[in-house]
Amino acid sequence: MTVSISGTDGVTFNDNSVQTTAATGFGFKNRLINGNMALSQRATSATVTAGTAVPTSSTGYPCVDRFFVYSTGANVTAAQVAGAGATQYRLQITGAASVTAVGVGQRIEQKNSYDMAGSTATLSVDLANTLLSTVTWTANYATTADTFGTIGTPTKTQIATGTFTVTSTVTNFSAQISIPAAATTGVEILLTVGAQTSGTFTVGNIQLEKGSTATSFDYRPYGTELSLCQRYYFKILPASGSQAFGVGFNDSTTATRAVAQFPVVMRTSPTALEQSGTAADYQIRFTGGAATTCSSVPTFSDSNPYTATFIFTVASGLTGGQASLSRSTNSTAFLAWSTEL
Amino acid sequence: MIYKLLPLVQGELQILARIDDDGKCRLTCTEQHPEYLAWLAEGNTPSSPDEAVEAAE
Repeated sequence: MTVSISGTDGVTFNDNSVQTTAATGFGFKNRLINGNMALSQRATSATVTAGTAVPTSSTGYPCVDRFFVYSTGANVTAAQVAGAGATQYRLQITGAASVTAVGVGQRIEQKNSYDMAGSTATLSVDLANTLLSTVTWTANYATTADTFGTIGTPTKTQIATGTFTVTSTVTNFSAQISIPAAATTGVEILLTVGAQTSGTFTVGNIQLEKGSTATSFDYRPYGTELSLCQRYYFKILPASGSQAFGVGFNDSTTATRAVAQFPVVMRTSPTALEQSGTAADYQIRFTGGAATTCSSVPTFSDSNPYTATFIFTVASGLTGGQASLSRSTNSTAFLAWSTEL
Repeated sequence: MIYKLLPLVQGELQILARIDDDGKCRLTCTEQHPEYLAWLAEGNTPSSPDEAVEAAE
């Protein structure tokens, strides 16, 4: 076996394959999840309500998984949009009159960033803006483990900040970040722009990796990336009506208690259940083929990182102790649990 | 947006319903939910229990 090593060309193996980057060029180097904006469990487009009391576990995450978006001055729209070439998707914020600032960020939990403390990391990202020419990047670490606070009331310490000069053409930028030894509590990457009063701010292929060199984007299998996202947000979204959320038992003549198992272990125990807000989107199927539409929206009952229990309620007609199926009546129905930071 | 206490079932967690400005309940949570705690910290108080979570249709 012959291996040639060149300071210019990299490492050439005897099958003529060439490795041009350092060991960090291998997979799972990107500490940011869904950096290619491929996953959007919540929605592919959503209005971001202006305000700085975000993000929380259930607000401030409008669109692509794991990325919070905020604006001040006026609402903006966040959308998963088509990319170009090998990049299938990007996140795009559309500005509006009176907007004074827009931010996009992701918080990396302690368990996935602890080893970066005391080392150099490299941030790389594709950016474009059709109105503004400056994008500010900021890295922060949480004051206590996984607790960053909101934009308006932060509980975090700045690691470093800098700017990228952008244009309307999507361009890749990178910056080196010296992460202090104290940054063992989780790391936040934040991209901000000023008065995006019109036009669009586009973000794609964002990556944070150990080392002082920006390497190629870490494309992970879709199923793998989805599993990584589901640690922080899991949504059961029926493709049509009459699809099951969970199996349970009738606790009384008006309520059934059902359980859903999370596909991956969640970051913590969820403390809330999200649903469509319309009782008629949900129903209980019980013995004899009968089904009764709910009279109230589903409610949270209990949870742990592995499962969640929820309650479906009808006006009458259940038999206590019987098994039942909690299901949708249409494709608008959903149940979701979040453990975002 | 307000929070309402749901009737407490013996042996169960106290659950709250978040009622959005359009009258719909899109989220129910425990008393440990961070967003609810932040709302409480602003000096707000949850409403008394209703018989059930009413869904605005």
